[in-house]
Amino acid sequence: MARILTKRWARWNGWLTALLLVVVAVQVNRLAGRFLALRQDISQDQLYAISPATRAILGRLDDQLTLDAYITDRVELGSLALLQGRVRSQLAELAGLGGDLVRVSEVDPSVSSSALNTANSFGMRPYQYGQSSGTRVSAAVAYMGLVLRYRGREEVLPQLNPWTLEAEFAGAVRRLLSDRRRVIGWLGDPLADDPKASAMFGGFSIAQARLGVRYEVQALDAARLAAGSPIPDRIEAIVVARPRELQLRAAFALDQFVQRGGRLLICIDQVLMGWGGQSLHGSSNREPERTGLERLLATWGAPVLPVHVWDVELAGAVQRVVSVPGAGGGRLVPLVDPACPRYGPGQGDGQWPPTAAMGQLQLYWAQPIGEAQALPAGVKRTDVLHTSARTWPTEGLLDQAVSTPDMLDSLSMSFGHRADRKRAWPLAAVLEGRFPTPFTRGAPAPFDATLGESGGPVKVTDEPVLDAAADSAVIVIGDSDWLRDPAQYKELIPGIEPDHGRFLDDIVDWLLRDDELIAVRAKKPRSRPLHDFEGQAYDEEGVGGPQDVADSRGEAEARSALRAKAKRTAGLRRLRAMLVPPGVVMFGLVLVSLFAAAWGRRKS
Amino acid sequence: MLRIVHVWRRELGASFGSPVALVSILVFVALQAALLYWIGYPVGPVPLPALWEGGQATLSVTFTWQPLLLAFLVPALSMGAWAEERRAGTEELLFTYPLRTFEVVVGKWLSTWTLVIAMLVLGTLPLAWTVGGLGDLDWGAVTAGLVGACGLAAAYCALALCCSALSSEQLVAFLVGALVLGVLWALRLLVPVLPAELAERLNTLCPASHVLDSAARGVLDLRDAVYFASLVVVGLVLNTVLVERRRWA
Repeated sequence: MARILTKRWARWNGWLTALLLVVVAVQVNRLAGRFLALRQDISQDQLYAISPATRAILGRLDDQLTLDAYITDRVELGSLALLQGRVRSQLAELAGLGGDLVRVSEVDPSVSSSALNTANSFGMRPYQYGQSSGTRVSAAVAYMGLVLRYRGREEVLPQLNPWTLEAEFAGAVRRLLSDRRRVIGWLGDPLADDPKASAMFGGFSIAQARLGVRYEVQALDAARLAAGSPIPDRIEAIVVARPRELQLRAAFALDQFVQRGGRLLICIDQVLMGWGGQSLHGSSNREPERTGLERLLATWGAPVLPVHVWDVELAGAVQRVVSVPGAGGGRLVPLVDPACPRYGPGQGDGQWPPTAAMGQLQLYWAQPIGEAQALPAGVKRTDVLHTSARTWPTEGLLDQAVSTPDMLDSLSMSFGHRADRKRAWPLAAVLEGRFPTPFTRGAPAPFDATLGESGGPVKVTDEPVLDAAADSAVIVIGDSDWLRDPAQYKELIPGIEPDHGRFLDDIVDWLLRDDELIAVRAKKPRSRPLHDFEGQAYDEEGVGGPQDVADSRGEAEARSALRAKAKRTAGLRRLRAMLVPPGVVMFGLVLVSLFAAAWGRRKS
Repeated sequence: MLRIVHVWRRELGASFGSPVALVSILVFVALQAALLYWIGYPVGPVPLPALWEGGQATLSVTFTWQPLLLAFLVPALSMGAWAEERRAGTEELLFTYPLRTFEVVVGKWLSTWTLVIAMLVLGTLPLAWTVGGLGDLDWGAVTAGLVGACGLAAAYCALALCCSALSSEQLVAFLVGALVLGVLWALRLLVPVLPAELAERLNTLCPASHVLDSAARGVLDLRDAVYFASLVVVGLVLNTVLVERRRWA
């Protein structure tokens, strides 16, 4: 009896111990989740570690920073709940860096109408999802925003997500720490005077709105600059997007702005690409449209050439609408357009912070930047974005978008026979230093719109003209469509993409010497391209890739055969590289097992 | 402690002498290579391309597949640990030795875990060596991925041994073990469609989440180590109870 009782007791004791252990394990994990938030990112990209720039920004706090997180507590969608968990965890980690100076509180907008109204008044943008109850699906919202308060000022992050939280948070804290909001000028081509163009092509409102979140954006009027209005001193940098027919006085205003230390981003586009027809701006005989900055850029050492690039290697994958005869409509056709080069991460200059951190960048009908006849003495030029070496300049500016494969082949053949003109062309250049002024004879007189252009010698005034007066920086890019809003024909130019917005942010931060924010925003996986077996084989055979241009049909066939051979060679090399190491391991294992079996038999 | 080491060495020697271990390792090495080079990871909201398709020197496909592969290979390696002992009648003999049940359990777990670690290293390092030769591989991320996989393997081994202790047939032990670990892996797939509270709990319970959300991305998190350690302890104690139950039957 005693033995049976002991057995039964031992059995029950065992199960109770196991059950208790499960309960203890659950509690230990819950406590660990709350108090043991210790982690170390040992990857090279450091995507999940707080960057040194963010730590430095938070280290400059010397007063209380209050964070009010507006987060909907009861969310019915599991994936959104996990997202909230990650955001809460990141906020706690960021707040922990600030020590006692950072206080976090959470407000649930769903519990009361006043909390909801407060969240909406801050411009919070909730996540929307479908919520099912029985057979009905209704729309539901989940708020996840943040209000930061510091010394009577506040910044709002209307919609949080874990991937951009650190960059947005650091930027917001930085703006709170600085005494004033910095001012950016915007001089763009509004298309307002051309109803046809403005209907087809968007302006730059999205790009301006994006900059407006972090800076004060002041629109500059080209007509007023031409009439003699100066650029306000409080503007530190100007974005010039598709300058068109600027008067001499306006160019002078920009020149003197640079002489005072102001910084410029100039995006040139001398053609608004027509849809299946002539270009909307620029004449039919391919005369390039004047930007009004030709003299300025030539003097500074970065003239933009009146041609487009035809890059067969970096050609961007685009979609065009091709009309179907008799069908009264069109269909989307995928095309690779060499006039629209596309860049990936790591394909820009690795030393210049904006291109080093660049994601995807799609340019449309890009114009190359030519060599200066003589770079000014005090100016340093760095070309930060190049086409591939298999690039030709077009014969003048294109006046029509490539819309069919036949058109693509025809244009390729027309440019490709000029082997002497095939090379890499710069599409973006950074100029730094003290810039000479081209207005050596004096300041041009203000433009009188009632009189118009006289055609005679330029009248000058006796106002002082600054020349190489202060250090400055100018960035010249041979395309402005990458900044454009999506418009009617999205297939022609899809418009500003997310990576383009970040690239613009980085460029402006660099112009304003905000390297800290670039370092925080640059947290994306580094490009780690694999060895290009095909490119190596093509080079060994002396041929180019599929877009390679041949001079004659016979040569095209010979090149095609060489390309096929190169592909086979590349395939074999790839197979060898892939299979040798695991094959060696498997062979070694089999050998070791056979040896061990033989040894065992021998011993026995 | 010394007794545990003796059990460990004995079990490890027996495992390497068995063709199951060799076949499992060969299958794992071949599968990992095929998945990385040609298939990628097509499951889930963000599918990962195969190595050449993606064109990037990364082993993220390998580490993403490992929780599922281990859910089937670990039961294969551990199915005979207790089941075969029972079937062959050597379990009673084992209990006549001056060994405590817990020592035998820990010894068997250690030997299975060692075998799985060897499998992980032999299956992953050659791939890392290959990809590292073809591009700039992030070795920090590889290290974190391997450490996470080893932690996951420890927990899987403890649970799979419990399943082996439930039956005297190896096939049954394998099927039950694969079912249990497979269900645990699949919890993560249910998370997007479940209500919030349940989703968070299941995500915390799922072992794969503790690898894919951290170690597979190059992050070593102490909370994951606590989670795996607690699973191992629970598994070993449960295993001991199951074996002791027969002893006292």
